[in-house]
Amino acid sequence: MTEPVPVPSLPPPLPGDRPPGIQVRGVHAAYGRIEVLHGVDLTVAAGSVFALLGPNGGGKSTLLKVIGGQLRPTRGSVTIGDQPVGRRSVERLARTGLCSIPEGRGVFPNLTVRENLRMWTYRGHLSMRTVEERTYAAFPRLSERRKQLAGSMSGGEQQMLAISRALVTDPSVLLLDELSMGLAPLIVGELYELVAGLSGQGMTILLVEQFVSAALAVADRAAILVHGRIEQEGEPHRMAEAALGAYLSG
Amino acid sequence: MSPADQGGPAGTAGAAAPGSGPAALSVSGVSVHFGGVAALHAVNLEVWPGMVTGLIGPNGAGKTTLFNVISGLQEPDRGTVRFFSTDVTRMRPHRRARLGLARTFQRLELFGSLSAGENVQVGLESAVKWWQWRHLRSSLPWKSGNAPGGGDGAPGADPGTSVVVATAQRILAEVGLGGRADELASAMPTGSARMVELARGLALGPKLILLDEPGSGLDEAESSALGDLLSSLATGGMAVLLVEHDMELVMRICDRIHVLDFGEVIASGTPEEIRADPLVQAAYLGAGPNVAVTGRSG
Amino acid sequence: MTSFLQYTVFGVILGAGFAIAATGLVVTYTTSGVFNFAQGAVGMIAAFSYWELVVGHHVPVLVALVVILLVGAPVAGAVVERVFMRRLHGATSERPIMVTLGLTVILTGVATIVWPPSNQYQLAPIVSGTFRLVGINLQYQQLLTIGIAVVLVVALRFLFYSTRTGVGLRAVVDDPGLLAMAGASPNVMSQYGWILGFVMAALAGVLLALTQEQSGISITAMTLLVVNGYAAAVVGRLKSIPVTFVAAIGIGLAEEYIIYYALPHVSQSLSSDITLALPMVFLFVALVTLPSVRLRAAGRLTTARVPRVPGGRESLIGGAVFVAVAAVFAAVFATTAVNSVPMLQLGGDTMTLGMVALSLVLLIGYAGQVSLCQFSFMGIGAFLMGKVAGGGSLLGLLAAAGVCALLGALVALPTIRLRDLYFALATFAFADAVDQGFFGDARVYGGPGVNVGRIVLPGLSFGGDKSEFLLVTVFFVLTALLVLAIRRSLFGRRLVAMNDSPAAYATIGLDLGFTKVAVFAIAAAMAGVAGGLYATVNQTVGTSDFEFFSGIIFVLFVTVWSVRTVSGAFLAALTYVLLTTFWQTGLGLVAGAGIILIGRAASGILGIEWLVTTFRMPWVRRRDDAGAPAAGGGSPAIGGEARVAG
Repeated sequence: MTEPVPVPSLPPPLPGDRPPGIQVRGVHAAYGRIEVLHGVDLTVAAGSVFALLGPNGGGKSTLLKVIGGQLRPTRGSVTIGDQPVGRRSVERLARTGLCSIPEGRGVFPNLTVRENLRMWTYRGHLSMRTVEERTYAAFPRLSERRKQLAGSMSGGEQQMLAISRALVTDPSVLLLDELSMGLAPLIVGELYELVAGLSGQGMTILLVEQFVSAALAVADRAAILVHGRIEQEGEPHRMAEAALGAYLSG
Repeated sequence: MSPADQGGPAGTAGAAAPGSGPAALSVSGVSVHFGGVAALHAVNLEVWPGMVTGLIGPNGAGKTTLFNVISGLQEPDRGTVRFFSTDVTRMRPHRRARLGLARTFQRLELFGSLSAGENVQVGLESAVKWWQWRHLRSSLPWKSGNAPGGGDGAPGADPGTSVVVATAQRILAEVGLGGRADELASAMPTGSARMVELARGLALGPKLILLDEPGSGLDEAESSALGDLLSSLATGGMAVLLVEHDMELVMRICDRIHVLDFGEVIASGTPEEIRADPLVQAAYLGAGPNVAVTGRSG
Repeated sequence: MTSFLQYTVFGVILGAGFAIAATGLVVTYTTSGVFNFAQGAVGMIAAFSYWELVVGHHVPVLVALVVILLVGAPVAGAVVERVFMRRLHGATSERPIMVTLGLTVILTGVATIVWPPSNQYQLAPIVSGTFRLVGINLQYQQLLTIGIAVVLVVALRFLFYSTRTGVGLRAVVDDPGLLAMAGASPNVMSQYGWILGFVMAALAGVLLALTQEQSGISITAMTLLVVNGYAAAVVGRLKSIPVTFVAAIGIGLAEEYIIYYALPHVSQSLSSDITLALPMVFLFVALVTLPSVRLRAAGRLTTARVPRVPGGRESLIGGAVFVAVAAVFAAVFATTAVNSVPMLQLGGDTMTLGMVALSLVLLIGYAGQVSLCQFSFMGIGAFLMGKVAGGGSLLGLLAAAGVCALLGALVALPTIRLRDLYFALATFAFADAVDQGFFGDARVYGGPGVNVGRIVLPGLSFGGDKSEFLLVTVFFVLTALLVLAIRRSLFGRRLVAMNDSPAAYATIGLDLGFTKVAVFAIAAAMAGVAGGLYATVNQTVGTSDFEFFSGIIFVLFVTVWSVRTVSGAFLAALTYVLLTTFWQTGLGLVAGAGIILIGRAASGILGIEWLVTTFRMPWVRRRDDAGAPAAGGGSPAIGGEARVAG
């Protein structure tokens, strides 16, 4: 897990319009009978990086699912740009430029690297050649592994493959869930450099992370979600202390 | 809490027991892989009777997988699990339970179409054979001697109810669900449903109970009552292994804590030691020395 | 040597047909998670459509094939996925089984109306002529079958590895959620899966039909021919296409070798039984070789409404009222007949079939184990009733109970470690093997059937129709009381608990395997006794009484009414008997339509609340205290219990 990772070279920034922001208004969400979010309000400014922190079970991933259209809120609304997420399907949101990278399972383990990349072309307007060229340019290591099953690669390599979707499909909004999960700190640092780079291209990014320092280093703003409610929101450097309190309270 | 607890890093198989007598549970060198990903890597862990042992760690650290290995729902690729002096590594789950190993589940595994009381009753009838039922009149499965509310059934129980039904009601009362035995389990709120699972586990009269986040869904008062109950179970001689995200609860009642991260035990010690351990802070906060995040570079 | 080559070639040809069907099954299962029991029926419809077009309307062969394989089957597959299957996502394991079985009986029902079995349906080969190769005679037709199978494998390989849609079909198996996040619709993918499955079923149906040159095609035979494909798919663990393909060829070869080398050494009549039962034997063997399922904590909470279980006193009163009503019925209709069948005989059939339905309440309703072979136990019970102690003896009933319990345990034992779907498949295999190899045998039920006298107890004779009817009514009521008593007992709590959470069941020290075998044996014994009584009601029983398909239709009726209540069992038996008497043709259609319509309501018609509160069984008093959750305890989403009459 700790093998050194070559610092990826980013593809050239893409010309694009100003990315949309995200507005979350009074969102309640539940799994079956169990309500996890009890009225969350959140605004992610267009083109900024927002870090969502908080202890396990606080509802961070649930909030990302609601924004990504995978879970319908029981109350409240989510708007991306000027478009309400409403009842639009996940695949439709994806094709219109929302990229969700889920926690710990952003790749198809029983497909090869190349077949995984082929799935990224469902975003539309992309050719397989472009996808491959851009991915291998950023992660030469994946080029060596193109015929290997994704599930048999190291955690770091899998995460590279997962994040390559954000890299090559030109999304305007990126939702990242626990990019660091199960990875060595060195790799985490490098992946987050990539995130910073993506933000530089003009992408609105909302990330959920337990690895507080990594997340805060790239974030423009941060909030702490505890027990399904936003407990604090503010500048990243002021959130570090609060996050520690939330994790190891008592 | 117990200052008597001076053991070195637990998890070294054969380390001096902080308690007296053999460990209730000793896990040594357990590894589990899912596909190419290691869920548990050479995990060592010991749990002693008479103590509440905490198991904490970030999401995905492998806590539930470890519980599955201990209770027999997941076979490890390597390593052994010993329950007191019995090697149970390849034993089927129901046989382990009969030896005195009970557990609860992070995602509820209740018998949803039975009432709360019947849930406990099924556990009770599994562990206590009918010819032993009369002993229940004056005790609870995990206690010898007189139990509070003993005698002819729980306070408020119908006088005509059988001893098993009455005992089930008394066990429910112990976990704070007195008088709610007739509610359908699948219609109960999460917090109460978790307590029904706990009661069903206790009904087995276990020597070791594994609790997977019993505190989630409880309010502050309930959580505090749960802490008291778990402490008193340990005082009575039971071994308790607790996975919990409510740090306040963990720090208050645990005698020892193990920290699991990336499938490995990275720290073991008393709550004070754990709180002060820089490795633990790093695991939770990612403040490792290697992190060289350069910030916005785009 | 030449003959060995000949049989080998035949085996490969047969296997190629199975392989096509099995591959389709695997494709559908992997992409949608539904095992399509109707695969055989789809093939059957395709085969008859081919006959209709080519023989009936003289359409050119090529046009007919295009219409069936490239238009009919894909459209049907897409419609079936969209209308029936999509809403089954996340349903309990028995629901998809029931819905695809429903589809099977609808398709066979439609086929029976459109192509009456009394007619002959002969097909000519697509290409005629033979040639000689290394000393064996081969038909071009046979070559064509092998050729198509090989082309299909290559084409599938290409599809799944070299096209985006194909890779997407594999991706949806891995992670449908992620596929959606990448911008492809998992629903569309699983629709493709159904389309592919239907096309392959149709192709297999037409090709296998062409091998039935001499006998012509028949609805049942065509539907079951594909079952060989089930065994191959099971060997491939329902996921590996190459393994499935090889297994199918292996089964084809095994079948040919057994027929030509082993069967000449056994008696003629036995050998025909073996031939017919062979597919099911293969399926059973394949199931036994599967690795055990791992117990998982599913985190599933039963959210279906739970029918109230009536108390002991209440069920006794209900039973007494029921017997009284039956006595009045017997007095009023003592001599009435409908369709030249005496009313009391219909009543007796209802009661005995009701007992079989009660065994399903125990099995499916309480323990969650889908059994498709209760009619087999019934038939075996009826047979024993006729043969033991000269027929009509109570000893016959005892023998029926004992033998069926033993058989039940034997069927359950090898498969208890498997998932629910495989358990259902095992009972499916057993039911058909018994139907083909035992009931179909001329020495068992063939010809005039088995004569069974009425029961004689010391000092009591049930020779009269009225007393016989009352006797079986009492048996039905006793069985109902027994089932309810079981539900209230320790064992009943365990059955329900096992169904709700197998993982929790094991971790509180209870043995899943033992419980499953026990409940299966009890249910088998109940069906056996019911069969014995059924025989005494009708006095003659024959092959047609316990047909495999009737058994499946019956299970569907019980599920439609409510597989969790005693009243559901009675209503199912009544519906079944009424339909067999008045509209035999519509039997399958009604059952299939019923199951598909209530596909969403987990506990059958009787679980639908307005119905239950509007019409209540007269002997059930509404009690608001017992067993009901306290107010405020739950959320409205799951709420209280449906009041279902016991």
